[in-house]
Amino acid sequence: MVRIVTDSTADIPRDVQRAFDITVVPLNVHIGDEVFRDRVDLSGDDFFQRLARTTQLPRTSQPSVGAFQEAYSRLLEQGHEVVAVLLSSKVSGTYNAGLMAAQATASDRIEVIDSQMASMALGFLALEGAEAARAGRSLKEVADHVRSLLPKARVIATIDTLTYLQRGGRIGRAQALVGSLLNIKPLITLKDGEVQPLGRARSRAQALDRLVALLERDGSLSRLAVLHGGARAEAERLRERVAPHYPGLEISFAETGPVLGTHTGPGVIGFTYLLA
Amino acid sequence: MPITVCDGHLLKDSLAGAVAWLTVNREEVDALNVFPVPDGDTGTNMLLTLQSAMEAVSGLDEADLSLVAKGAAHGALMGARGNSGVILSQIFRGFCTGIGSQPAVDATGLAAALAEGAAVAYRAVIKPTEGTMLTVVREAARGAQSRAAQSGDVAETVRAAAEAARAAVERTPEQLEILRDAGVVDAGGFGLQVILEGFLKQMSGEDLARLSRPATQHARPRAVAAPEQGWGYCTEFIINGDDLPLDDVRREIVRQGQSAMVVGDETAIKVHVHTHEPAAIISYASGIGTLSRLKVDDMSAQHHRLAGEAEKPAPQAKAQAVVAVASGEGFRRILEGLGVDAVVQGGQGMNPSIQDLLRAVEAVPSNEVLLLPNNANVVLTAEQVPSLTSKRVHVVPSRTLPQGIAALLAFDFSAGLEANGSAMGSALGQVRTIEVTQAIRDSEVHGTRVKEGDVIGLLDDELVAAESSAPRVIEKVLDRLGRDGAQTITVYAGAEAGDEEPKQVVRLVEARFPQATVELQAGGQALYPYIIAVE
Repeated sequence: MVRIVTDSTADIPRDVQRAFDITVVPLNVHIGDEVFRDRVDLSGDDFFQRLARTTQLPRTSQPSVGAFQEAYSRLLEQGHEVVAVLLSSKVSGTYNAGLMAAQATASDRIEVIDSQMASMALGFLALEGAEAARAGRSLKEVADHVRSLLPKARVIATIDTLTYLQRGGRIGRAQALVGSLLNIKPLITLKDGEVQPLGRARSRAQALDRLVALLERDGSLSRLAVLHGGARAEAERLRERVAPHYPGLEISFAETGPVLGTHTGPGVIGFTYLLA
Repeated sequence: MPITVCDGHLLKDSLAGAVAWLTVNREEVDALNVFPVPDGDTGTNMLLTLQSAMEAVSGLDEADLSLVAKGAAHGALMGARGNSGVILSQIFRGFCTGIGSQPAVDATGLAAALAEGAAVAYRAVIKPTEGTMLTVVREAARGAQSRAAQSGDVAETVRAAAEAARAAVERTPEQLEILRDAGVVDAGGFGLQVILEGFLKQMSGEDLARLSRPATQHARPRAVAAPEQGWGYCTEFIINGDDLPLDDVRREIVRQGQSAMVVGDETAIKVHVHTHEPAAIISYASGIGTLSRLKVDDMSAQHHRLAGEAEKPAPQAKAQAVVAVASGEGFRRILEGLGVDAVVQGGQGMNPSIQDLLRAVEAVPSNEVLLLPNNANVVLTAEQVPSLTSKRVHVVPSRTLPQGIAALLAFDFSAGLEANGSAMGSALGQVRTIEVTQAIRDSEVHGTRVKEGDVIGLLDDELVAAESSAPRVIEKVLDRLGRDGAQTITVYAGAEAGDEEPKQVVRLVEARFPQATVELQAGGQALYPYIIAVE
């Protein structure tokens, strides 16, 4: 049986992880001298509360090769094969660590995939893999299925400020949005594995309007989640707003954890989805 | 002696005459603003366009009329600025088409070419309005055609054109209510009349002082001084004649201007001088002898262009570039902060030429360009650019800076040129623009009585309030605007707004729109102490 490994930036809720037997390897967030495992020792909500109180800038680090080796070994020992679907290699060394761990394990029963994504877009790819695995597909079939969906995965979001992306060195081409003298709300996406600019809005309300328009422009979807970092109430309103356009589609929430939150800053909100 | 043939030399000389005569009359044309706002310098725009036409043929010693007409048409197009300049350039283009490949024409051929000029100008304007320059050029052509059929004299034909133009100019207030209310004739039409008179002066050697001005009451000359007086105009020309008084000329030129250089002999004197009043110097010089190589450059415009270009970072290739027009250092920085690749300085009272825009479009590191004119009087100029470049250019017809900024905010990095052009076009309607400036003369517009020196408020280009102070005007315009739905209000303080008053304006806007976010920005624009965007 094939099992799925992913990392904590996939924003997969705990119950879904369990229901689909998905193994999640956490990245780490460092605040001062303390180290927390992403979404294990520290939840997104707790993190954003801390962030509001502290002037210290948190840092993040990828999982160790050993952490992946451990996860793989446990599954292999149980007789499973492994498809690891991991955070975009353009913004993190996580994929590299997962790949090195697979080589170190010297097993042909592991496939490692660079999702080029983050948050629930990565989570959806992992879930698709888990469903294919549950349907009894082979290692190659599961990996091919996930790879075939990579071009259909999307994340679009607005953030309050570009400061966090800039300070964390993950701003990528969204650098183009920096430098506005007017107070603007940046719209960003992940494309080709890196942060890219989508546009600018004059207010949060206008930014949400734009996100909804961009979402609807993409036509019918197979999966959709509202992504947010410590903005649950707003995310719920956003879900209610778009739900009528997607009858029959379950719209979940992707609550951003401490690692992604370190780079987006508080108040990130948007959509993550797979095109039909 | 009748002139029976118009060739390249005659057209070239006539152009010089037109430039000289329009230079002398420029301020009078400028003063014919319909709105009492310091805006739309029709005379200046037409003169700069005409000068560009003349410069394009100044190096040609050419008898072939078709070549001179082609050069002049190209020059006019490249130098065209403002709506009046663009229409003038289209008249040249049509004239050039009418000449075709003929090396010379008779009076009938000349009149026919003028008629073609009128036809092309009509086609260039999306909604042709009677009582404007278009009517005047059509009537001028009609007058020329009927006289040419009778007399066969080129100068008489041009005289008929000028006379018909004058009659048409006098009728413009009957055709356009807005002119009648303001008590003026149409500025562009009058400018065209002056150009035709200039042709005639050169051809007939006639004393133009005897050409009567339209009977209609002209506006009084503007009371508000043009900004940036410090730079003035670089004025150059050559006086030709016999037994010229070089020393007297030098003394007079030095008295009237700065950085004067006067060299020559009894047959030709070359003059280079910096002055705020080029018309006065040219008028003096034209009394001494015949002028040639006349050139008047606005040094403020040159200065701004150079200052703007010096700070550009190294260009990076990108999918789509944005070129925008703006007045003021603050607005330049704001636009660049919103991703504009090239800001062409211009706007109120200083419209950029087609060439200025074309140069910026050619210079940006992309083959696809979105062009934002950001001023009602630059839209038509901008719309000429796409046909002049191999790049794909989409003009988003923004009529104010807030509209341009709203358009920039609609820019989608993931969309193509056409999609962005149309999204940005739709965004223009999502912002209301309030502009505050000072009335340059008494007037009554749409029932609002305005006194010279009043602070006046415009809502989306329409005058709606006149008061004694900017805050009072803004309150009145806000009343007019209503209270619904404003989310973001941005106050752009102009170069003349001062330090304290803008804060007062922000407080009163906040009191009026407690739900909205109000932002104060230094726009640095000339002539308009406040531009306010309501979104």
